[in-house]
Amino acid sequence: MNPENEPIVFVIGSSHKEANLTVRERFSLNESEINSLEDDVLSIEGVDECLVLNTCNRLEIYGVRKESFSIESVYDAICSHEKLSSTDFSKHSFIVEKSKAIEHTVKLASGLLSQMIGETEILGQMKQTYKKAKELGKTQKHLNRLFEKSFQSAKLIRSETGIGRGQISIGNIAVHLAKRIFGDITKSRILIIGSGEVSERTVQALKSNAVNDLTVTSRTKEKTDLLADQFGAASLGFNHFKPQIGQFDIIISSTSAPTTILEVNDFSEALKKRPNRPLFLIDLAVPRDIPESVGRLENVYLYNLDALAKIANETLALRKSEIKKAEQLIKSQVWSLWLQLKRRSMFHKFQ
Amino acid sequence: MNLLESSEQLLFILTTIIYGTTFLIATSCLLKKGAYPQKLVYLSLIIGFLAQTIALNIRAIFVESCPLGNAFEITQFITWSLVLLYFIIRPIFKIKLLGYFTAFIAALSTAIVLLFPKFDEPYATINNKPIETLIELHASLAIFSYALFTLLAILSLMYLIQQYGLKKQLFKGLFRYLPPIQKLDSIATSLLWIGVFILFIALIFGAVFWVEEPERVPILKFFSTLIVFSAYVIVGILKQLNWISPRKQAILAIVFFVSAILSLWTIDQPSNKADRSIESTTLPSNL
Repeated sequence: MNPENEPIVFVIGSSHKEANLTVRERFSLNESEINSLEDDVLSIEGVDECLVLNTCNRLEIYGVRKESFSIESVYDAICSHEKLSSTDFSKHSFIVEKSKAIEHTVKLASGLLSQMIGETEILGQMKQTYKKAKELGKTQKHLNRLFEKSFQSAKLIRSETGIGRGQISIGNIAVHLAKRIFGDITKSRILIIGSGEVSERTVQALKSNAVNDLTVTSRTKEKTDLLADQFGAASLGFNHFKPQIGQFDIIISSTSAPTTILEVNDFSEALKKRPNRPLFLIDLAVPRDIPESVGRLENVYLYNLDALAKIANETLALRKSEIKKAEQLIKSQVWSLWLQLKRRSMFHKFQ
Repeated sequence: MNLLESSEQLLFILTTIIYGTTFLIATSCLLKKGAYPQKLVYLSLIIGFLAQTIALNIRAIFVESCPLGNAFEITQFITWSLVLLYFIIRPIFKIKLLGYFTAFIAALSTAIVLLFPKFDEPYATINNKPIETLIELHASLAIFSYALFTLLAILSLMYLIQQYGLKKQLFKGLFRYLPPIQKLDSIATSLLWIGVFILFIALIFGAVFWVEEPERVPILKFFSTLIVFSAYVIVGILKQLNWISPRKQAILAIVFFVSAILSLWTIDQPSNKADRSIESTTLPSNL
C-alpha cells in the first residue's frame, strides 16, 4: 500500500459550542437527508467510510479519508453540500482528525461534550446512528473500531468516575425524590395544579417512570380539559380540589397565582385522611403556590423550584469536578485505540 | 491459657476489628467518593460472621451449653443473630446500606463488651438437663427477638436519617443510597411484630420455668423483659391505630433498644447462689 493512501479518521461538525440554537435549528436533518448526506460524502474522492450523527445539539460527520486527499478538500466538499451550503455550516463548524478525532468520539460518548455534562442520551443516539450506518455498509473497519471502542470506553469512564452521577434535570430530580420517599412510584397518585414548561417536563419524567394515575386541575374548565388531554389525565374542578388533596401522593403545583393557593390548614386536614403516608409537594410556581411552613408538617416533603435547582447545580458541580479524572482516563483510552488503528493500517500495508 | 482459649479471644477481637474496619472503609468511600462499596461490606460481614460463629462455638465448648451466661456472651450472641438476620433480610427486602449500619452496630456493641472485662465474669451453669433445655430455648428465642429489635433500631435510624435528608433537602453521599422512607417504615413495622411474637414465645417458656422453679428466676430480669415486651407491644398498637407517626415509632424503637441493651448489661450480673445443682464455670478472660 502506498503510504499516501493511509486512512485517516476525521470528524467535521457543529455543536452547541459553535452554533446557537437558531443556527443549529437550520442544521437539523431528517432521516432521508442524513442518508443522502452520507451517500454524498462517500462519493467524495478519497473518502472511504462515513457516518452522520444528527441530534438536537449537534451535526457531526465522521469519516475516513486517504492521506493523499487533504482534509480541506473533503471539508469544502461537505460544506458545499446542498443541505449545508445554505446554512452557514462552514462558519459554525469544527474539524478534528487523527488522535483528536478519536478523543472527540470518546469524549462525546462519555457525555463530556454534552450541554448537561455526563448525560447518557448522547450514547444512545450514537449507538443508534452507528447501528444504522453499519447495517447500510457505510462504516467499515476503522469507524467500526472507533465507535465500538468508544462505547466501551464511555462505559468504563462512567463506572470509574462520577461523571454521570446524580440527576441534573428538574424532572428527573423530582422522580428521584419521589422514589426516595415512596420507593415504587408506579402506583402513586399525582395531582397537577396549573401548568408550565417545567411542570410539563416533570410530568413527562414521572410518566416515563410508569406513573399513570394523573389528575389535573386549573382555574378554567377549558384549560383543565386541555391539560387532561395533554397528560392523559383525569380532570378535577378547581373549586373542588382542596378537600381532595389527601387522596394524592404527589402534588405538582405551577399556577400563575399572585399569592399562595394552598395553606397549612388545607394540608393539616388532608394529612388526617392519610395517616402514616407521606405527601410529596413540588411547587414550581413563581411566586410560590404553597407556603414554606407546609414543609414543616410531619410526613410532608416540600420542594420548590429553588430547592430543585440547588440540587441540580450541586450535581452538576460534582460532575464537573470529575472531568479531570475522566480526561485522564480518556487519554489512556485514546492512546490505546490510536495504536490499534495504526496497527490495523500497518497490517493492511503488509497484506 | 490453652490454644483453644487464646483462639477464642483472638476470634472475638478479630470479629470486632472486621466489623469496625468495614464500617470505617465504607464511611470513607461514602465521604470521599460518594460511592458505597456494597460487595466489600457483604464479604467483610461474611468473614466477621464466620469468625464470630467459631468463637461462639469455642465458648459453647467451655460452658457446655449455649453461651448466654453473662452480658459479654449475650451481646456477642445478639450481634451474631443480628448479622445472621441481615443475611436473611438483605435478599428479601434489598435494603441498601443495611450492611453498613449492621457493621456499625456490631462493631460498637462487641467493642464495648470487649473493652470492659467485667461483662465477661465467670458464672454458674446448671446441670439439670431438662430444665437447662427449657432455659436455653427461652434464652435463645429472647436473644433472637433482641436481634430483631436491634435490626428494628437500625432501620429506624436509617428512617430518621433519610427523613432528615429529605426535609433538609440533602442529596449527596449517604442520602443517595438510603432506602425509601415508606419502605423502611413498612419493614420496621413488620419486624416490630415479628420481634414481639418471638419474645412472647420466649416469655411463655420463661413462665413455664418460673412456675416450676420460681426461686431460680431472677425477678428483676424477668420484669425488665416484661417491660421491654410491653413497650414494644404498646408502640406496635399505637402505630397500628395511627396514633403515632412513623417518625415517632422510629424514635421510640431506638430509645427502647438502647434501654433494653443497657438493662441487659446492668441487670445480667452473675448469680452464684442460684441453686444447689449449679456449679461454677471458669471462662477465659477477655482482653
